[in-house]
Order: sequence, then structure tokens, then C-alpha cells
Amino acid sequence: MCEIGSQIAISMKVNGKTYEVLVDPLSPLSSVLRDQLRLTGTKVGCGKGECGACTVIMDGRAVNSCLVMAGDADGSEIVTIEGLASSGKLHPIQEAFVETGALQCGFCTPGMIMSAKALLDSNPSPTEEEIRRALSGNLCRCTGYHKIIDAVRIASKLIGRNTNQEPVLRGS
Amino acid sequence: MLLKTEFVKARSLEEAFCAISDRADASFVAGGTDLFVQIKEGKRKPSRLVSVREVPELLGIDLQRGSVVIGSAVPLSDVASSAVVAGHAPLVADACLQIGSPQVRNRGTIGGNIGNASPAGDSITALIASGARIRVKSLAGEREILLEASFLGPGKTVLSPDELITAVVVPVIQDHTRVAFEKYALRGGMDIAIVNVAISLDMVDGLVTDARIALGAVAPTPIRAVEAERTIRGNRPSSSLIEEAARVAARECCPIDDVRGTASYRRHLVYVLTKRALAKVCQGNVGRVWGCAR
Repeated sequence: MCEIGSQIAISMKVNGKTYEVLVDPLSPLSSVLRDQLRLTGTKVGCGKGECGACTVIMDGRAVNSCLVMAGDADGSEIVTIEGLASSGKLHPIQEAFVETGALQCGFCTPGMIMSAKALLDSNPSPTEEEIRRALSGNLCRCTGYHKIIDAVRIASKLIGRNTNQEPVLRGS
Repeated sequence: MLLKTEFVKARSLEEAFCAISDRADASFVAGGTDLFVQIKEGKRKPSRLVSVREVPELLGIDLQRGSVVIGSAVPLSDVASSAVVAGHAPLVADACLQIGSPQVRNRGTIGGNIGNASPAGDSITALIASGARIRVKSLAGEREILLEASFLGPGKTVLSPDELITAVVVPVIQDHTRVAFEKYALRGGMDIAIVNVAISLDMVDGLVTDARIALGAVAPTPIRAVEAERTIRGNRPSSSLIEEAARVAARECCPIDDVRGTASYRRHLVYVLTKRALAKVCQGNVGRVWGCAR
């Protein structure tokens, strides 16, 4: 993909589905997701990598999708907030956010959840300090962070129980 | 979009140099965490961006002849989590962990942090205190530059536009070397240092045989506090010597007032952080990192 011009074709896998998209290589990945693929769960706050609202998981890592140039996303594998629930069932992190009431306006929530997912995928039982560090690139302007951190801790327990094939008791 | 910048994703060094050399005002880009923001804000308008993020030659971390060689396109998160870097250049691992946020460290690269040439760059002070050099390549050839000699001012380096940082070469920490990194910022994450200080002391039989003190965000470029180094070099550390060296460091920096702090506040921070870092390394165990202020 070395062609030069105003638009280029890129291929990427988003939430398990392969997309071939014609993009301006310098448009941010967040715009491609929201405006071209209509995956508007990913929010854009500051547009300069400060707030984390646009966090998605790219090739297994949390990134600010507003800072990824579309041309650089060619060949990548992306997970957005839309990719978490399956068969009508919320992901345990989403369940925990609902159960804990870890949101008010909800604008930062998709980014928070994607950062939490990147953390729990690599570290299923994080300490509070590790949770705080993993979320340090995500700003919330309404709730304060305590309930969000509680939610990630609860999600970690829910995921642990799921893995151990035990029934999940909401909020316990 | 209003941007009319071409984009080329290079798959090899050769492709990267071809793409950069046949166009004026072209620029290399790696993670884009700094440059892409500058482009969005209209502060930079390169005619072409040459993405080197996936160039295999720029992606390794190796031990070579007494140095840790870090490929310039290695993400900061990989530098921070590398066992090789943690074991042989712990100051650099510690500083890289304090840059930005997890998201920024996953995209931003060590070469990009250097090329961006911020006077406050966290990795830069740590690398300067570690005696790092950068390997720079262009179609004309290859050269190695001492890192501290590669900055001219905020955002400015001695590199020409067609030169690419290919690797950072960090001398392996010696058994008798003690290091510390101190950063002061208002938040633990996503915050630029008001001041950062990196220190590397060689101690033999209780004497400081060599000292390197690097200061960030207190001059147009990251600097060495050479007078403070001279103050402690050849001496036996004591609380009065540490006090004196910290005062000298505060005197020899030249900070400015800006949105993050005043010049006098920064000067005071240089005194406090230098003193803290020196106290930690002088009391600490050999070869260990002390002072991970977060």
C-alpha cells in the first residue's frame, strides 16, 4: 500500500468483520469508524489524545483512535465498544459499569471500558493501583473516578468467575 | 479533510528513504502522537508523511557490545516493559513509563520522543543521563550523535529532514552505577513535566567517580547540569554535598514562565528534585532505580 493520492483503500478487521474502506489516509481512525463504518459508540472528545474518549483496541493494545492516521490502520485488527456485547448479552465490564452506576453523562464510558478491557485482557486480576494507571489516559468530567475503578474491580471478579465456569451473580 | 498531505507507509528503510528524498518538506512519522496533533492544529504541513512505524529494521531491542540498542520505532510501552531495558538501562525504562498515558505509550515511539525534541521529553533526560547516542541514517550514510548534542531548541534538532533516527544506543548500566529519575507534574498520567531530573552516579569505594545530571523543561533543550556534576564528582557524598550540588543545579538552569509553572518555581523544583534524586542514589543499593515519582 504505497500508492500516493488523495484517497487510498485500506483493509481492516473491526469487531471480527473485515472492511475494505476508501479513506483519506490522514483522516483519524476515529472518523473512519464513526463516519464511514457508522460505529458511533467510539466518542471523540479532544481530538488530540488527551481525554481517551476515543479509545479502541488496536492489535491488542489500547490506543487513542483520534491519533491513529487511517493510512496506518491498514491491515490492523480493531475492537470498538460495539464489539464487546455478544448474542445480546453485555460484556462483564459493561455489566459491572451498569451495576455500579459508574457513569453519569456516559460520554467517556466507551473509552473507559475499552481501556479496562485492554487491562483485563493482559492482567485479569489487577490491583487498584494497576487499574488507576490503566485508566490514567481516560478523563471523566462528571462522576469522579471511584465508581469507575470499583466497576473495573468487579468486572475482574466477574470475568474470573466466568473463566472458572461458575455462575455469575450480578453485583455480588 | 482540509489536509493535503500525501501518506506513504514504508515497509523497509529503503522505501522510507526513497519516499523522503524525492519530495521537499516531507517528514517521517512514527506513532503520530505529537506530529499528527501538530498537523491537525495547522502548526505543521508536510507535503508528504512517510510512516516508518512498521519498518522491521527499526523495531528491535538488542544487547550489542555493551549497549542496549533500541530501534527507533519501538513503542514507548515496549521500551518500558522490556526485560532487556529494565535490566540494563533501568533509568530509561522508568522514564518511558511516565510518558503520557497507556494509549499514548502504545503508539508513541522512543525515536519519535527524541525527534519531537521537546525540552520536557521524559525519555530524553533519562537517555542523556545514561550517556545515550542516536544512530541516524540517510541515503548519504550513517552517523552516531551523542544525544545531548542533537538538540538546538524546542522542536529543533541537528538532523536534516532526510535523516532518520534508526536506533538509540544506551550504554549498559555498570555494577557501580546508581540511577534515579524524578518527574514533577500535576497529574500522574497525561501530563507534561513541569521539571524532570535524571541522575546517574558512578560510585567506587564510597567516592563519586563520575556524575551525570540531566534536567528537563528548564531550558530550550534538555541540558546537563555540568556545574552540579563537577560539585560532586571526586567527592564522598554527604548531606551537605548533596545540598550544595542541588543548589548549583538550580542556579545553572535557565527556565521560563509558562502555563505549567513560573521560572522561579521551576528553579526551586530543580533544587528539590535534584536533592531528592541524589539522596536516593547515595543511600540506595547499587544498580537499582530509586525515585519513581508518579
